[in-house]
Amino acid sequence: MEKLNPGRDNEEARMNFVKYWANFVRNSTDQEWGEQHTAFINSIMQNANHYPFSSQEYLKLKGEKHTR
Amino acid sequence: MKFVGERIIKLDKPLNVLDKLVLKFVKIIEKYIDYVIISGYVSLLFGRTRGTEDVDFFIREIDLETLTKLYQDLKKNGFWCLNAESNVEVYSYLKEGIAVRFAEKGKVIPNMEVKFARKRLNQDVFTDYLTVETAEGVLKISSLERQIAFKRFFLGSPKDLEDAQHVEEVFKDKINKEKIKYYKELIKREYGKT
Repeated sequence: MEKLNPGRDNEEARMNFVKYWANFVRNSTDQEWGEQHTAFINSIMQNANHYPFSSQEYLKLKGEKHTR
Repeated sequence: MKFVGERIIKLDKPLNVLDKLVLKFVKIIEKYIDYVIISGYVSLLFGRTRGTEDVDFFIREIDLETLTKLYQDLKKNGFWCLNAESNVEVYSYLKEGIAVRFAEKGKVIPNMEVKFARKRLNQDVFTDYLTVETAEGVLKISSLERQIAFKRFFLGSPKDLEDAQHVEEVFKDKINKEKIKYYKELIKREYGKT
């Protein structure tokens, strides 16, 4: 794999990583990148099970209308 | 992933729990309505490494009777609406141009944010879309160029710019740059942005 360039600031470092990872996705099989990606997304979704707010609190935070 | 022709992408990745939830939702709603998935989930589907709390859907306008059947089917299959308690309320929100959110019963996130596509530019998604074939079903998503243009020239947050960059890099050889410019102009005309 090619080297990941550091960034001069957080924004540039993040964008460099986006390009680096996208390049890996483009140049590997769906199975190769997909295994890493699935593990990552599944762990985030597992954390979502512990979301502390109710639907009313969530919609209030987002400034959205609700009648429930 | 590879293009099969101009408008089909075959995606052979192992599906994650979010993909499976989206496919479950789509298999219900597509019985009643035309839909297209837009925004962040499109980037996630193709490997972007970030979380999301919602998946955005544009649907074509439907009548109350059809919405009622859809609503009942979603409820029967374990989804609930975060915003409203009845089919009539859900329909009135959609008619007002307000998005409604559906999640698995008892959960808040992740949720499916559903909205009528009303503006002419939004209605274009139903003609300019891609079909993604996965191991467990098919999804309709907005075109990659539309996705990049809206993220970059309409939404524009750091997260959106990264989403756009990811899609552009992954599909480097397939992106039509002229089409991105075309959408940029439409966004400018309709929303006065860029």
